[in-house]
Amino acid sequence: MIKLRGITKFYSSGFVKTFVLRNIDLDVQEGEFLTVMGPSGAGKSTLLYIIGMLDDASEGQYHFYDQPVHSLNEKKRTQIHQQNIGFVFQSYHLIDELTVYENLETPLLYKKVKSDERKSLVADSLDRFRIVAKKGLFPNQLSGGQQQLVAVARAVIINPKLILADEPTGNLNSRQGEEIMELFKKLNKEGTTIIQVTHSEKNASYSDRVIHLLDGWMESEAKTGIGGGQPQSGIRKK
Amino acid sequence: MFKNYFKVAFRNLSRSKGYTLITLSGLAIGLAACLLAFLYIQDELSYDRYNEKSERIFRIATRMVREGTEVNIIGAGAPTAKIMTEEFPEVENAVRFREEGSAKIKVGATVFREKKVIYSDPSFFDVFSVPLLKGDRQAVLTAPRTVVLSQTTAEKYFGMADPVGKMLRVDDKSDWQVSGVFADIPRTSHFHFDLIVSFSTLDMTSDPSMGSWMSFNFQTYLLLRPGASASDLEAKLPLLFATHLAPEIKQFMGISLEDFMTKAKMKLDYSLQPLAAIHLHSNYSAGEFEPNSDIKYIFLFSAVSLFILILAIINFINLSTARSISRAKEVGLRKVLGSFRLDLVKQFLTESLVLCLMALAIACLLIVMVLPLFNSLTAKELALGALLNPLAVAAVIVMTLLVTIMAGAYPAFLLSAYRPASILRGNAGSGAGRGRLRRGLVVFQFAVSAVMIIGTLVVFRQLHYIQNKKLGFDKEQVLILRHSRLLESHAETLKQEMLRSPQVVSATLSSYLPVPSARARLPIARADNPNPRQAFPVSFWRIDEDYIGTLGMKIVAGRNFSAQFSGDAQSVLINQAAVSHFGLKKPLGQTLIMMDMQADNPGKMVSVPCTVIGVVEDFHYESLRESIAPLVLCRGQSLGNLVMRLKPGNIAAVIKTLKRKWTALLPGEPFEYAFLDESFNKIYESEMIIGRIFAIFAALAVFIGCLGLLGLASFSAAKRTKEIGVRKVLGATVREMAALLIRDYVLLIGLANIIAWPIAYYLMQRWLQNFAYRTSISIPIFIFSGLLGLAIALLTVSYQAIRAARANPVDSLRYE
Repeated sequence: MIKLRGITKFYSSGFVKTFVLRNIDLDVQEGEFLTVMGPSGAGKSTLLYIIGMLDDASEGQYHFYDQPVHSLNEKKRTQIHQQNIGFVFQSYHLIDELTVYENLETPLLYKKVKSDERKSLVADSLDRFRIVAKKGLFPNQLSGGQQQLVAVARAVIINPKLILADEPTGNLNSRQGEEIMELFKKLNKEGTTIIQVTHSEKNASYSDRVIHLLDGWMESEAKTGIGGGQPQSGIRKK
Repeated sequence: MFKNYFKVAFRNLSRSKGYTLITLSGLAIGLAACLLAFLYIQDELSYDRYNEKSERIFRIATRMVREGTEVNIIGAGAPTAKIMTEEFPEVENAVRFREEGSAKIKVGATVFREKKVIYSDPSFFDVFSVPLLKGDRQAVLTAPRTVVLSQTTAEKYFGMADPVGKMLRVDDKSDWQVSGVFADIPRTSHFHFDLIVSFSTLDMTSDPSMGSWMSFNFQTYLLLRPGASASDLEAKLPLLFATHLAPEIKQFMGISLEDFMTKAKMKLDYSLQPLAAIHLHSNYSAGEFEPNSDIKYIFLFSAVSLFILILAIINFINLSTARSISRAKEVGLRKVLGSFRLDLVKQFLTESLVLCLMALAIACLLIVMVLPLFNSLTAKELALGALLNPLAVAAVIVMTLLVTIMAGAYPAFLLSAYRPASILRGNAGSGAGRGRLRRGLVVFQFAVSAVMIIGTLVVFRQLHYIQNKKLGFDKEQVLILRHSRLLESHAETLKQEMLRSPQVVSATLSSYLPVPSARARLPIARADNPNPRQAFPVSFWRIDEDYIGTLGMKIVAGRNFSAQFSGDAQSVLINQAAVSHFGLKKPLGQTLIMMDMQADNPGKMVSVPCTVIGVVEDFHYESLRESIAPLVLCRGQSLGNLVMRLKPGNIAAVIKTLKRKWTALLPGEPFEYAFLDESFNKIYESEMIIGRIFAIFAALAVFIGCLGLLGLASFSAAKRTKEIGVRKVLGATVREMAALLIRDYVLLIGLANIIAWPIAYYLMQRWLQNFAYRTSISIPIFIFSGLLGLAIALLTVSYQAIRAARANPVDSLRYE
């Protein structure tokens, strides 16, 4: 599904190049649940944004299915991303000016889904995430966990093939965090590919595979337990 | 999708109330100014368009150059209309007018004084689209001593009764029969008549000018055939003089037209003015029915109102880019959710459209509120309803969209360009480049304001200069009784009676005043001029021996007229300009030859020698726009006005006495009086209007500019919170911090003023060229306008700056 080859990202200021990612090769199969780990500043989020087509790599090739993302224009990329990718962030990132209902509706509007279908999709989603009662509220009227629930619902509503989650439980208490992770697990079982960035070992344990980044280099790969019948004790770096 | 955009737009606008208020009020004021200008211009351009044939109607203007002096007259010789209809195939019809001036109309026992009385041809109703409500279209204005009345006049005279066939007693000597009623001439016409009298009423035989080509007293309008070219016709006009004027010259002077022209150093030509151009493009000195407007005012008004709108648009751009940081997260998120850049551009344009539509609604309310004031200022009857025609609606829509795009496009493209990756990780663009743009726009705003402030100051300074200019006469405390000519021999009696009142210091009778009043010119030459008949016509007034004293003029050499000198009938006073005009080294005792009309035969000129007995100090008897021209004053009867110099005190009592005496002498005759200083101020009415418009618009410009500054100051204070905190931790005082924050604005406004000064100087210097006597544009005006702009701007930003500077550094650092 995703094929990264020699992905490098750097920022130039004056004569100094600051490298964020160095020569990353990565393949992600459809249906995988991948975790990216590493200390702050290792380039985890940047990698996620590049995969999500919200940022460009400085060098390297990126194929999404068979599309060469690195050589597509912005419009084309937006099209691919709009049809296939859902995002979940640490700080939820709901649109403050919109109600829960409208937040859920927005990606469908951009996808130009017809009004009737849109209504039923939003209604389904509200049901599924049990937030029907909250549909008229604004984000600042919800707790963190509720906001993240809406954010996940919003990411899922377009029925994406890929969900990218940037520390999705970072601002949540442990019970809320678990709920969200269970949700991801369920979505993954239903066939959605998930890539998450996290500091938490516990969260990582929900995934099939873990990669580690350090100073922009990809250090190692590990397969984790629960899914895919793989052994749970992989190579894990503390 | 658009529903969503609108919803978000409304929520955003209501969430940031301060920003919305600033942008909205600015845009509303700007749009209101533009709509008002649009109403005004639409009205000005509609003049005379009520005529269905307006495209084909042309007026003849005569240009006469005599010894290098050009005289422009609206009018042509009496035969022109008829001859042109007969001899030029292009001309379908023609109509002449001859002004009567005022007439006393007696209906039964009631007396009316009518000022809008005109003689005209029956073709009036064929050329102009003025409906004849009563009377026989074929017959009206044909028979002598018949008259058609305007509807209002007819109702005034006869109420509901049918006026046709009724008789009017005119000036107590003749009777006119009413033969019809016409609909009142629309306000947007360059002429308004109440009584139109048949041309055949005029005595064509006893007054030789009535049949002459050389007397340009008849306003003549031509109706061209459809498709005829006015410029082709204009090219043929010299033929008229060759075929018709030449024989007349030959008959009266015995010389050919060419010889006459050469001898008199004269040039003469006719030109054609399109009817629709008269109101805005015709400012001839003689023969206009009513004072016209000027295309200059249209340019001035549209330019000024457009600038106001641009200032408001700048506020919008500045504030929305300054605020862009707060919208950045939303932009990033929408991109994450799959928005195309174009979707975002559309969204932001929708927001600016929502704002513009709200501003438009407020602008309409504002206009409804200020229209009465505006109408009284410009003497118009504008109404918002005048915008309900397809052209105006289209213009308003186009204007609103244009403003939407001008204001919204830059912020929309700027905001939609944000990369979500960087925004969502919390490092939105620093926007140094945008800061430059913003500062540039602020400089522009304040430069425009400064130009307007300087303009206002210069206009008012010139008005002040005019009010206080030493005029050569004393305009205060002078009461003028109009129409004293009607008293005839009783005028002198009334003057003597009024002099008995302790309040009346002195009194004089004359038609000629140093404010708009009667004027006359005669060819006057030095005794040694061999050809006095062709001498330059000089202004010539008849006054009595009390005139100079009553009006407070000064004799600088010789003496005033006096009742004791019987020879004063052949004496004249001249002004200093006349002394140099005639080139007199020792003016006293010199002889001047005046070419006057013979008393019993007005067609014949006789030369009258006069002795100069005194020189009057130059006084401004025309507007200060013109230089003082030579003037000759002779002693003679001229009863047009009774002019009285009053002591300060109970002036109302004097007027009451005067009215009582007037009514006793002329029962039923309307009583009219004026004060000399008020008549004087009327000359400068258009300058007063410009001054007021300038002042209002300058205030608006400053207001909008300050709104923008207020918004920017609060944003920049918020943005610099951390810097302020750090500096305070390092020991900066509140005063130093406030100064730091304010310094930027001082520099910007200083720069704006430096840019504005030469522009304002150039523009106002050009405006002052209209006046022969004018104030200077002095440096204090610039300094004052600069300080004013600075003071207002500082008042605006200092609150924000001081508040930011006083804030607790701990709070501001925790902000991170």
